[in-house]
Amino acid sequence: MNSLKLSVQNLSKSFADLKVLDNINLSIKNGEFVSIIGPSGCGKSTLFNIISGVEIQSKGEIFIDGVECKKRKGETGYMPQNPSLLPWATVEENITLGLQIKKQPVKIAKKRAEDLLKEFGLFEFAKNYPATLSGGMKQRVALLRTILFHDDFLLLDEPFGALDALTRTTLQIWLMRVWRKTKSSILFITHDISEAVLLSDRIYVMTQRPATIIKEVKVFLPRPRKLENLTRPNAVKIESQLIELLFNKNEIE
Amino acid sequence: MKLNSIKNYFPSIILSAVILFVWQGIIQFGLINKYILPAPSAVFLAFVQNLYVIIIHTIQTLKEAMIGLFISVIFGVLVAIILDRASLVRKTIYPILVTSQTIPLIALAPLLLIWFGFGDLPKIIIVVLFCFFPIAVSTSSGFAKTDQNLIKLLKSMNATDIQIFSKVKFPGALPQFFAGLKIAATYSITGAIFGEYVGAYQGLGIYLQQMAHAYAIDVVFAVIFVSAILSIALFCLVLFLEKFFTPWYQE
Ligand SMILES: Nc1ncnc2c1ncn2[C@@H]1O[C@H](COP(=O)(O)OP(=O)(O)OP(=O)(O)O)[C@@H](O)[C@H]1O
Ligand SMILES: [Mg+2]
Repeated sequence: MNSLKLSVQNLSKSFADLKVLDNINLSIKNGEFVSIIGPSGCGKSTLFNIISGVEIQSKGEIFIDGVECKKRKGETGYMPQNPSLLPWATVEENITLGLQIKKQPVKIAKKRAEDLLKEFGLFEFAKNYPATLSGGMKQRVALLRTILFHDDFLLLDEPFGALDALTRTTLQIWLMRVWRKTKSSILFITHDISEAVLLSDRIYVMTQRPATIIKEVKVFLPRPRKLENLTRPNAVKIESQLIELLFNKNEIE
Repeated sequence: MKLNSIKNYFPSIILSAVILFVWQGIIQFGLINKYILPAPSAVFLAFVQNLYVIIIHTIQTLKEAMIGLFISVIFGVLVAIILDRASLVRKTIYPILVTSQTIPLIALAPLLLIWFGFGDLPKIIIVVLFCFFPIAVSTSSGFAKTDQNLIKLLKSMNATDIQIFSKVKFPGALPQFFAGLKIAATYSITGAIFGEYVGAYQGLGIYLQQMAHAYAIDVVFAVIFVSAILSIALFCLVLFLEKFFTPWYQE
């Protein structure tokens, strides 16, 4: 169970003469929840675009399940930063998008969507169009869509970034519940330090562009976690360590 | 829903009624000669008296307009898809498309008549020239506005180009397509009548010309009225199709 889901080695990426990622190394174990935290515009989304196969790296290798993986499209459940739902499709149709792409039989897809929606409390919205949903609901739907496509390896790019604080907290707790069921390996981008501490087993801290990983922080907090855990001395210590890493390093420049 | 839409049109119905009423009064009191401007009642009478002939011509015009519109939809959407495929193609075709719209149809119509005769074909061509442009331009801007995040998402799912088109691009462009089709639908009747006016065996256009030459102004007005009703009817048909095919889209 301790084998690696993902291993990124010496990864670099430039756009024309803009160097975005510089020699990134990171890994996730199976079933692990790992966050990446870093300043705005440093290249976090670019990293996910590369891991998911939407973009191609300039240098470096990516291993999935221990095998070097060059064509990675379809190998991850990628929830991009703006995980638009299809406005013309109902919640149910949106959730089964990935299964439609994989050309799974409609009946099976519908059944799986139904089970998932029921399990995570969204079944009453199955026939709704996205325009009728709140921001938090849309993110839940987008998450379930990602999970239904690929439940064992998720790339979540700031899924809660645009939500208000209250909704965000609700969704963080909801995500932990989902994750306990799916046991997915998750790579999670966030701007939010306490979010990273609440959710993660490990946190990678990135620098300004060209981004490198300056630190890997382990979060030793018992699971299942609760919000109150964030006030424990251990958690507070990690948070202040992260603040120091993010701000000192970046302000010197 | 129904009630609401009637309520929406209420002011314009009232206004139309008032205009008709005033118009009738002006003629009745002899303020304008009725051979120059016939009263609404006279127009209605002319409509009823010539109903059979008008229906026959209307069917002809409607046929040309519908066929032309149908071809325009296929052609317009096809052009939009081609424009969307590659920027080189776009750069090559777009200016030609726009230029095609600057050709005065009044010059082209007699030529078409010489080339293709008095049958349906030259009229259908004119309808297509009127109609395909708004459909092509509108649909193409619909494709261009596709949400790039959705395309990224589908790519990460290893979707094929055809899947990206059918799941994202096509449904996303539907509202724009219908916006273009609405314009095209109203043009189509006018286009067909224009084509017939230059020369035809049958149709509202040639009938209009004959009646004008015979100074049957009340009939001319009746035909104008019929063509307006046809345009509105086609427009409403498109509205209905739009509601049906894009139920998620609220203006
Ligand atoms: N396709 C592209 N072509 C050129 N430059 C790009 C491209 N994609 C991203 N960039 C640039 O790369 C840099 C990193 O972008 P990226 O979106 O990965 O940052 P980010 O860390 O996700 O930012 P944020 O925190 O705002 O989400 C930015 O300066 C961006 O302008
Ligand atoms: Mg980003």
